[in-house]
Amino acid sequence: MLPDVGFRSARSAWLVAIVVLGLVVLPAVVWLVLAGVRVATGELEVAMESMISVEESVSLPAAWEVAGHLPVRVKIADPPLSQFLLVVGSHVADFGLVVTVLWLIQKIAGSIRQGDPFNPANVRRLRWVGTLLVIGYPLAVIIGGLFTNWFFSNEHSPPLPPDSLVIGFPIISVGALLGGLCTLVLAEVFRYGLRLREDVEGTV
Amino acid sequence: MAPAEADHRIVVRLDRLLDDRGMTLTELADAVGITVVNLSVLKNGRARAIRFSTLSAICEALDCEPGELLSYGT
Repeated sequence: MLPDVGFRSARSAWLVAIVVLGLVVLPAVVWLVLAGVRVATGELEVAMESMISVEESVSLPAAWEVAGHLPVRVKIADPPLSQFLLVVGSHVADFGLVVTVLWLIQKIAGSIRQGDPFNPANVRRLRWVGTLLVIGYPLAVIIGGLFTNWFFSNEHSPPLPPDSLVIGFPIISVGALLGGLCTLVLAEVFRYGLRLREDVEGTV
Repeated sequence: MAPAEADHRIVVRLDRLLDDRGMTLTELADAVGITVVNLSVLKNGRARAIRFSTLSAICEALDCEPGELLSYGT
């Protein structure tokens, strides 16, 4: 096992991952607690994002055109429990994805900080991170879009403006795709490093 | 000792040579200049590779040929 001296960058990466994980989880927990309190007092207000077309309402000079849709948010005061659960459900998939990836990253950075990066667990973790980014991200977007669609489809939701989109963001993220592919390649590098380590440790 | 669950068929006869020379593992480790732990790895068939420098030192300490220490078989 390598000494901890000289792994300050790994220690920093571990700290950053822990801090970001906290910044993601803590507000979500606070929001859930506050929502629970507001449900009890009848003061709960939920919001759901969508996108609307603004082509017909905006006059632009010649050769200019609206690129895409305008993000909007609809708020419902004192919603029924079903609507509240649909709002929560629309965020569960991407929240779970982000928390899982950050958790795996801090575990990997932690093992590097301890001087033991080339181990089978890190190979598995990197493969998981890559797979979650490549496949999990689009799935999270689709799942969030389904919940959003259900939210706007039931009787408790206000009517959507014409030409609205309920899935407001691209299913494929180039950043997530490239990051995932890089991580999958890195997993194979770690697997080879693990094999080299086993050879070195078994050499007399 | 034959390798157990290894990806090779090299047999290390260090224990037999030590018995024939009346030498302990600790004495050989001191003579060769490697740790007893590493030498135990070799003796117990768990080594994956041996450096030529280590092989030379062991052969000099035990006054043997590499072929007496290592063989190929089941």
